[in-house]
Amino acid sequence: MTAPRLDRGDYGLLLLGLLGEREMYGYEVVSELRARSTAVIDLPEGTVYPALRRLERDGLVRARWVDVEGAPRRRYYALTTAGERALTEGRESWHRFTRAADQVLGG
Amino acid sequence: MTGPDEPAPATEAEGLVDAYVKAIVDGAHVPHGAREDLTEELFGHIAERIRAHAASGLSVAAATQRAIDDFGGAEELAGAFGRTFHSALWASTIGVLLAGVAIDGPRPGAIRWLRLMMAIAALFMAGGAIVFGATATPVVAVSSVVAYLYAFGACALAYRALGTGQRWSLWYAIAVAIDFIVSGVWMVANPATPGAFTVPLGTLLGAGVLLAVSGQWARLRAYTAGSGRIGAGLTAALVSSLILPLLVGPVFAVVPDPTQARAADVDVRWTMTCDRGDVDAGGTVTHDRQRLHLVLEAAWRRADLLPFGLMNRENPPVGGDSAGYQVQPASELSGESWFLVTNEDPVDTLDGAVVGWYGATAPSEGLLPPGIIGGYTVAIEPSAIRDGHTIRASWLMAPSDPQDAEWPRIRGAYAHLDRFLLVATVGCGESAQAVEVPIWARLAR
Repeated sequence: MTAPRLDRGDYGLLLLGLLGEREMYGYEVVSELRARSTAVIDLPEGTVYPALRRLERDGLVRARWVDVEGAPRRRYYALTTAGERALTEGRESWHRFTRAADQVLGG
Repeated sequence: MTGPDEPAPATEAEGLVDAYVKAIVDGAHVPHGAREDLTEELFGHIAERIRAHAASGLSVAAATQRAIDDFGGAEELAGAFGRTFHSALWASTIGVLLAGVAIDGPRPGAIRWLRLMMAIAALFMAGGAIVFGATATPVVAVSSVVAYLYAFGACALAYRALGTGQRWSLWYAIAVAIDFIVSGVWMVANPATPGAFTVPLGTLLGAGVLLAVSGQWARLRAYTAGSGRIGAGLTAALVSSLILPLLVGPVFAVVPDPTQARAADVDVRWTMTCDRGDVDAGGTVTHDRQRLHLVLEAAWRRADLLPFGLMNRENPPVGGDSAGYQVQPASELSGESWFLVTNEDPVDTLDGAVVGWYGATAPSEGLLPPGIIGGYTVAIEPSAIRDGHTIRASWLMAPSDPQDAEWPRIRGAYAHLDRFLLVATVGCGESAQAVEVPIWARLAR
């Protein structure tokens, strides 16, 4: 299983990072992503769902429905063991890349 | 304030969201097993966003529109889901051709006629694949099945895409209508049976559809206005699907099927011996007459593989090969003629089995030169033509005038199905291997 590649426009690694902290549903993921990136990452909200479904298809996350009183039930996503491993590898790879980029750019 | 017949704002908003989510899920062609699940998830997200916008003071209608805008373009999201739920190949081909289109206004009535014609075209293509696949020679059959199924797939896709406002499907259907018209006119001009008249139903349908299209052209343009471009590659693939079924016949008329025997795969030898002896002509025996023995031997090194297709492998629907000769007197003015005393039915030299009859058979008789057709020809069963087998036929002739006649030369011809013609000319004591005469040269004469 290869880790998601931010350099290919796939923000699956960011989703794995969020879901690595706790189980979340789509709307919550969008809100967290926007809040933590101080709205720098502000893609159309719907784009998070194909990305989540791809992670699910690839076995990196699993989903379950949770009933909510007075509101539509929610589909929560959590990392699988493979997802945790992909997150660890992806995070290391990303840090290596940013360190190298900092050295080149003098950050 | 709403009237009794007007829907409540919440219902209007729900309808808008329903239609939006449906456009995404339909456009992505989400598999049935995941449809309901995904629809509920997307609907839940948008509903929560509507509540958040409404809480900030927006009206339900404005909050709904804002939530949909926040969520993203239906077509782009459908594409992203298509790539998630399907293979990359599917997403880049069928996913593009059947992408959801935002349709403004009702569906024009001409779409129904266009879809009917595409359904008929798809049936024709499926029928073509079955007929050619079952009755053509192996390579032709496989090529035909591929070409016709390819066209069938394109017709079926066009049928579906016409319902979703894809512009490509409108042009594709127009091309099919033109094809129907041209094919029908060609069939009337070139009937299978000379003098027969075929009612060109395809032409009538194609013309009717084009008439309906021209009458509603502005509405059809508007109906497909939201459709994106499909790209040069897919356009080429669609054009190919129209052309390939039309090309199979002409191409294989020029390029022979490699699984079929060629003239080089059979040695056809004509041998003529001349002597004197008894001649029994209808019970009357005369002695010391000139006698001419003509022998044909066709030795097959490689026979056809399924020459009449898979379906007819046991019972060929047509006859096989034909062979015959033409006496060529040394002097046309001498008035001498040679009559057939007796002939031997064609036999397989390996086991002596009779493999033909006195006469000729279609389609090979059509290749025999004019002077031979109607003469003392033999027909050979197609099942007798096998690798390593030799077929032999012979004729005994004598001059009609008991007085000494000039020994003639004889031109023998052997025709294999409708494939090739081999001809040789022999004289007394000669044996000659027949050589191929191009069919076009034979027909030109």
